[in-house]
Amino acid sequence: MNDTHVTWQLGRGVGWRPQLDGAIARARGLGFIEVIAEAIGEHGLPAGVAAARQRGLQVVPHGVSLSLGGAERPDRRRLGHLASVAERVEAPLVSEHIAFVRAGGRESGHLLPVPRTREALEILAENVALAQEALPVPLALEHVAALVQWPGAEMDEATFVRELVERTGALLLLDVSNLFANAHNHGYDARDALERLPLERIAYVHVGGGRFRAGVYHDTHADPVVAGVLRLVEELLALTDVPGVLLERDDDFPPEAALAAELRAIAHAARRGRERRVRG
Amino acid sequence: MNSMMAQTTWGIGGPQFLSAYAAVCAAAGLWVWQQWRAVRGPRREDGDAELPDLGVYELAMLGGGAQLAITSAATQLHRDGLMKSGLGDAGGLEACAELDATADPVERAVLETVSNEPGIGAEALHARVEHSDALESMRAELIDAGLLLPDDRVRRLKRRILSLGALLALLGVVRIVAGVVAGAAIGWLALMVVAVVAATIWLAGRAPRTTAEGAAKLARWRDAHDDLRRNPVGGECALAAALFGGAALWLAAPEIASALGVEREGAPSSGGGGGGGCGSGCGGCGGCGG
Amino acid sequence: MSADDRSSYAARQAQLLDALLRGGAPPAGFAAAEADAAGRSLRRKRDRAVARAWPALALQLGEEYEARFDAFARVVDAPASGDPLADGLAFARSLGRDVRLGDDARAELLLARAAIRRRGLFVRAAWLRGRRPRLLVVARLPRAGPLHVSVPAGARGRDGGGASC
Repeated sequence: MNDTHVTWQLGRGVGWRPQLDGAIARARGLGFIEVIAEAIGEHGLPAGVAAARQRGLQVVPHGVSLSLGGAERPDRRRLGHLASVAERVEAPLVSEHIAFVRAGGRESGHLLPVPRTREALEILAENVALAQEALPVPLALEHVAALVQWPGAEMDEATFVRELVERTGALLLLDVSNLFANAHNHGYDARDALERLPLERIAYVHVGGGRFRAGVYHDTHADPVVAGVLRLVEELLALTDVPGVLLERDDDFPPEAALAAELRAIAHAARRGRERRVRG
Repeated sequence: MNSMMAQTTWGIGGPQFLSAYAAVCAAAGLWVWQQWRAVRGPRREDGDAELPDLGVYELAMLGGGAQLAITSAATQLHRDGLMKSGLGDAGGLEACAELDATADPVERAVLETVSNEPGIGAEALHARVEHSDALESMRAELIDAGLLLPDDRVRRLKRRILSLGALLALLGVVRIVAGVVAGAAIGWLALMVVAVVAATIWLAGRAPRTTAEGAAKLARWRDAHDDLRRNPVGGECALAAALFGGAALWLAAPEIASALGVEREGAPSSGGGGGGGCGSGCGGCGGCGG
Repeated sequence: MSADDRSSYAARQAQLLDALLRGGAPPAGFAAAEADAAGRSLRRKRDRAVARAWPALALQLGEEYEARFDAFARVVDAPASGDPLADGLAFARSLGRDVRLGDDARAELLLARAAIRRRGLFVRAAWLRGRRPRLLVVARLPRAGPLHVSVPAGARGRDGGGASC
């Protein structure tokens, strides 16, 4: 077990996408960006990412294809790429998902959940340990939004995540929207789950937009952040301080002013929570 | 086939004529270059840090003429949810709201035309709005400011290029005919005539729209908004179209690109995901942010 | 963790993934409605990516696009590269004679074929006879990007010509 401690302050962030390049370059008050590691080439960096580095923003590589929750051990080439991106951007940490993205030689194209069983936990912990060995910086793990659940769960999600980070010494990338989605779609209390997550191990926080379709909440990253998610940001900050909060937007990109307004709304929610905590 | 030792046509040997013809073409080229520069005027350097004070549709007019200004304005109207487009090849444009009194005159001209003729196609829209008061007065202002070239000056330059090219080509063709009659070899000359015709058409087709200063100002705007070139998103769609042409609209708002008759092949064929942000249309979510 | 455990785990994941991708019945124990929603969401993510890379094709199919793509995606896996341009090419071909492509979709098809072609020479031309009649020539030279020239035919084509990479 290699226990990592959070030594960084990231502040406010936005997930870098080529379409947001201009908006990010002109945004004020940003402390960091996140780059999808798979979107970066073998060498060099996209100009917008290099420029952000120059302006003093921190850059966190975010992997989406390691399939740490898969039955296969993480692929060396993919790990090597993630490590290389981390070195190129001088990242304080990298992040990946508690999910599988391929099985039986086929790609899912998206993050799929793992069964919440002892067996899955064993395999995940092994895979995470292999990844940690290959990476030059600490690894944070993000729980995913899952529309489908495996039968035979032996524990709830908060417990599963806690066990995993405690066993591996990995950090937690808490995605408030994913938590909101799972709580809403699978009928449990998000606030209650929040309290049982390993909040002391949070590396940073994701917030993304989504929408309700036929009573189901979809974590689309293509819509504005819903009020329920903002309330959860406030609840989180009322419980603990976090090193950074990052907005993810992957599609249907809004005008620059609307993006700035979303960032402000998240910051306000965080401040309300922080004030509640300070007042006690 | 005659021998290589054919009679000299017009008393001038083949090689001599070729070199003389090449020299005349070169001189003509120099003259065109000088004319071209004279028409475009001097390029004044302004060391201003600020971007030149130009509106979106003025930039479009400089970069792509009335057609692009109309495309750009229609993009804005679509973005603002004031206009929509039908689907498919037959899809025309339809207005769905009115502008307030403070609206831009170019937008007003486009929207009024669309309101009067629901279902109007791109060509008809261009034809109606191209000579509207809004565009004519904008054109006049840009000409007065020394940024846009008056049509007659461009036409005159084009005419000069075309007549000079035609003259040179004619001379070459006559010599070729005479040479063929006399049984002389004409391969090199034929090649040169083809080159002259191609260069003439190319140059005439590229006759400038703007003065050197207008081009410089447009270039500064393009540099400052280079990120819009590939990703015309974030509410800047009209500006993206104005600066980089309507083709980028295919990636950002295909329905409006199609309705405006923008050709698909102008846009990069990219496998990279993500786009959007320019689409709205009527009943769209206007400002869904926040 | 033993190799046996991993392989039984792998089999169960492959089973679930297969059900989601094909839109078939999920393995025992899964809620059918949940699996259906998850499968739809996977295919929808894929259809959006393809629509972005193939705007004219998606626009032409209009409201039918989603249903047609869903039917295609249930049968054909996305390419291993995940490239939506290649995925869309397979989709466009699957439409066959069912759909008569319009000018813009045909132009898009030629551009995509040129862009996907990695080596060798590619030259194709198409007469586009719709609202803006033109001859479109698309080429990809060895070790260069795709390029195209469009020559307007008839008085209408005003801003036709132009090559780009």
